[in-house]
Amino acid sequence: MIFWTIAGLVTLITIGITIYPVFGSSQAPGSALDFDKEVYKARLREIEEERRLGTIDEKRYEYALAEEGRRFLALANTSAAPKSQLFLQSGKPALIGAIFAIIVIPAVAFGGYYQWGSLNSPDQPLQARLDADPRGQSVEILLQRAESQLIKNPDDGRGWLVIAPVYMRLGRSRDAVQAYRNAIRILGPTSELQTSLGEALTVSAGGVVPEEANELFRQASKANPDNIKPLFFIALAFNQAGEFKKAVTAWNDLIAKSPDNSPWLKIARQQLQLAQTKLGTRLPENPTARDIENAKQLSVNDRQDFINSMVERLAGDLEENPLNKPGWQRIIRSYTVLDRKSDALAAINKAQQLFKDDKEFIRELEQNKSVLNQ
Amino acid sequence: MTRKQKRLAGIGFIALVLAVAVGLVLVALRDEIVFFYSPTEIIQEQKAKSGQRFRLGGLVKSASVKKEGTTNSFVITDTNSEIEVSYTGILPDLFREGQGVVAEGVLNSSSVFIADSVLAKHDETYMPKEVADSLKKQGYWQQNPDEDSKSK
Amino acid sequence: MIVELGHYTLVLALGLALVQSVVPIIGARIGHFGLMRLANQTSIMMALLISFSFGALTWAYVNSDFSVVNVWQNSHSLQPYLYKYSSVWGNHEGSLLLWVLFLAIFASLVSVFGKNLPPELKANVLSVQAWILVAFLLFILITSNPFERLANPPLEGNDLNPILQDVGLAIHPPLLYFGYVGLSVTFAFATAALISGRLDAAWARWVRPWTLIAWVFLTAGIAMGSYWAYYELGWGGWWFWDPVENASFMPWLAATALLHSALVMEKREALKIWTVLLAIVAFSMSLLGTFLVRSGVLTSVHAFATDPERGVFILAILVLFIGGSLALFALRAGVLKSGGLFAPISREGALVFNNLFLTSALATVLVGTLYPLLLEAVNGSKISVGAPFFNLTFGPLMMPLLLAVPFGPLLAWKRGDLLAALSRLYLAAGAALLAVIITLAFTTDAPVLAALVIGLAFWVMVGAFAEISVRTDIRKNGIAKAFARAFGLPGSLWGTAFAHFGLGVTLLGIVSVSVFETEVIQEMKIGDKATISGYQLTLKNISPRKASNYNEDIINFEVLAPGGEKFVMQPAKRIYTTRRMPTTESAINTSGFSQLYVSLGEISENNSLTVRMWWKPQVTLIWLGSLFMIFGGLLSLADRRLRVGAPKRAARASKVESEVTING
Repeated sequence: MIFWTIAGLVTLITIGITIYPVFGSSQAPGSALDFDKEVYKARLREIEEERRLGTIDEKRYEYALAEEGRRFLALANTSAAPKSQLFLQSGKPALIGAIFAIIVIPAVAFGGYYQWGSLNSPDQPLQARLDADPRGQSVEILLQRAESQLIKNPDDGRGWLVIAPVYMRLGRSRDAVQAYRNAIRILGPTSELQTSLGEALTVSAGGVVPEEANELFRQASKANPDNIKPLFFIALAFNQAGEFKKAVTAWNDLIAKSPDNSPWLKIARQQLQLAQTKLGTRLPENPTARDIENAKQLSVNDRQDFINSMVERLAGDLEENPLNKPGWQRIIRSYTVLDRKSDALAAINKAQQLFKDDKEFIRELEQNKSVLNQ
Repeated sequence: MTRKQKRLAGIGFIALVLAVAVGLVLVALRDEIVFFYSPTEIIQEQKAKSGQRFRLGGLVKSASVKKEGTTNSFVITDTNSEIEVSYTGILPDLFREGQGVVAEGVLNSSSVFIADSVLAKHDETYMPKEVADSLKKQGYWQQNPDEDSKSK
Repeated sequence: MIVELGHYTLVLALGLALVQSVVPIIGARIGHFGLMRLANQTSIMMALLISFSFGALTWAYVNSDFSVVNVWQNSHSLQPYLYKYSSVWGNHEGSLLLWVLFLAIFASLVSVFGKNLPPELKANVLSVQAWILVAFLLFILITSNPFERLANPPLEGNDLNPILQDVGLAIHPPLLYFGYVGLSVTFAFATAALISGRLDAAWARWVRPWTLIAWVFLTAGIAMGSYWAYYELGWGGWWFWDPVENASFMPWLAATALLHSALVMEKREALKIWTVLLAIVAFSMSLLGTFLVRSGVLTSVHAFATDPERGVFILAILVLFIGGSLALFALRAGVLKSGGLFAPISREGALVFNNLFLTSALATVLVGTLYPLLLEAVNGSKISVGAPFFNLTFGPLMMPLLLAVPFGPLLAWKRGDLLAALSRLYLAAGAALLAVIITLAFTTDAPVLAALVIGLAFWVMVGAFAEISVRTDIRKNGIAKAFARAFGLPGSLWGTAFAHFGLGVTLLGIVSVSVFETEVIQEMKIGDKATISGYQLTLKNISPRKASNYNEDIINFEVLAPGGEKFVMQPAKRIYTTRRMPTTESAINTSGFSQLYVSLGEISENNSLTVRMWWKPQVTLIWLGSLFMIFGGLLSLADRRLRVGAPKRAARASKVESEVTING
């Protein structure tokens, strides 16, 4: 409502200013010839002034005067008959002009704004959005606010600690890495923090445990042997590095230490199985009761089928929605791990085409390729 | 000179200056313009004579950039043919492997393009027009998917 | 609401412009003073409305209102404030809004300062201005609306293109646009004259100052753009004959020619038709420049976005205005009377000479700029026309013109005496000769042509003040009187002298840097030394730094000058965080008029980097010369002789400003 009050007022003022001079009375100025006269008067004054200053001599002065006089006479005589007299009375033209303005201005303004404008879109300056009541606001806004707090006060370790898992949940693993690094810098390394940083590094590397993360997991495990999470990643790293013998030991160690209903057990067993297949070993000679139990539940082939079906589903997803980078990373990794070399290479080639602008990803793909080709 | 002669002399002078200007433009258009070619046009269609200046455009081939002292060498490809380029100096900030680039220079006897200037795109969404056109011709160029949202 | 009100006032301005484009011109046709007078008020109101609109967009930028698409695309909340402002015109939509704002401001200036204009002329001029406004307002609202909104605004913007985040480029577009749009005034005057078939005496007196304003801003804009390219792009070049540069240079050439021909018209009533044509050509070049840059026909940093719809629309505007005005010219030019005979050797003759060469040069630049586009349209072959083309065509055409510059002001109107003029130029000739001899004697490898051009530069510089020395005549009058006289000389005379002097200065800078420049490219590691033109540079260390919207590595060089003094140069490699875009900041050290210029390549993994160094002798003269030209233009503009009163009966309001100054 305020908008239309102001807009209407401005429109009224504009129309008023437009039509006022059409009717308003004032003396009409002279004819075009009168204006020409003024120009010549000004020129004559110039010539006089130049003579006064002595920048033109007497002869030139006379000459210039004569020239100006001649020009003026010529114009006065032959001038393309300037409109004799301007009339001022309002009359019919004034009325028509005014009506034209009264119709055109609001019609264009309202019509045009209706067409192009975004009525009811309030201003949303950033600061005001950040200062608004936090209840009912999106995670992004809250995050942004926390971020600006941290930019102002970057040594707030607890702040970084709070924000880091939020980043992880939003899939912004690189920001999470930064946040955990800051937290460690300020609060000092703890087993939990190192594990979290390592995890963030691993996620941002697309699931492959980078060297730095591996080191962090080792430190974390050493600092707190009861922390099981780093063990998982250490074992995973062995798998990914192809050191299957160590991997088998590590997975077995992890499985032994984990409580029965731990959520990671399923993956750990799969990975253990994988390492064992790769190593060419059968199940350990003295399987634990639990291992036998599990093996009974799922035969090797069943498990393989299960994994394959998951991979196919992913491949189908990518067919439909190809611009999914983590998806490609996952499927390439899966093919590699499943030893489906030609599928892996095909996926790499496809991904390279799709993401040819993403230099980092291309490099990662090249690495994958060279690993496969070894 | 009579008034008429003076007038003619004036018109003659103006015509002379214009003739000189036209002559200069024609000579310059014959000798001083630089054609733009893609690697395919050079290798398969032999469009440029050796020693002739031209602009070579295409994509910088992945993993082809090498640096020896101040001399950079890389390969420009249009995914069909490729040409090795050697350039001494500073490559533009946005020069990247896999990105569009235009180099100006001459082809030497061993088919290496000796460039004296290298232009890369000005920002992340800009592809030199000539490069985009010639890649389109090769059928390898597709619109960047998020470009639509930018230009709207 | 502020943003939406800004949008509304822009649409309202379109309505007002429609009224102004029709009513006053009809008033002039039927001789109705009331209808003509309407344009006075509407043009001021329009400027206010569009100012508010522009202010609203600026408000959105400064407050990072990302619900405005344009703001979200081109700014970032952490940008320094200066660039939040300059982001407004650092993009297609905003820059067009600025264009239109200037157009409206110019129309309102005509309205405010035009009390001494015959009412019919003024009404026609303001109507023609309104036509241009209607066209560009429609263009903005239909194809390039800066007020588009987002329902769910993101929390961060895309940032301004980093290479546009620079003080030089923050002020370059407004300067240039003010110049471009200033030429619309002379265009409107020319069109108005053709419509009414009458060239009033006031016409010529009006055209020159307005062209001068446009010319001053064009000069400043081009010089600023050139200096920006020089230090920001890191190539050490100051002019590339890039189509976009040509797009700003062509209106400048046309405006320069127009300035000179308007002088003939004002003083001698000759060259009337030619001047009208030039006024049309000058603004056509502005429109062409806008088209080339904004349509995306050329791809460069200036073509912010390419969109066929925009290209077609702006091409239509171009055809409509250029074609329309030229057609009008063809139809109506015969109605205007030509007048004033003169001998070939005379002031008029010299100014015709100037126009002949300037327009020929303009034509060669036009051909060089459009030929690649034409050729591609015709047979698809792609070519680039670069510096060699322009050196061969533009260069030779400039030489006779520069040679003639000192003569012009010394020749009398109507009939001049070339020998007498030459005899007054003995000082300039002596200086030129001396410069040639010194150049040849003290440099070993300078080509003779370079020495001759240096001589030419001195000829122009010294010769520029010949008229002043003649008019004051120090030997006859003595110092005191000569000084008093010099002080009393009209501003336009001093203006001419300074502008011509500036031309010589620029020429000197150009020759000097093209011939005597030295360059060293070297691979350097920390601790390495490089030597160029007696300067020794040592790469000390690399220090990282974090700024609000970028991170940079500063490369610290310690420089030992030939004179023994030490200083530090700090080029840098930056990464702008939002766009992940790298840029190089070159470092420049000025000593005297010369500069040492250091640019960098990428830092490789073993911390070594390619360093490119130039010694650029007298390079700053190029831009210093343009400062002199600008100063000359301003002096000329301040010349109170250009002011004319209005007829007494209607002069009550303008009496104070116009009459008193002239009499007093």
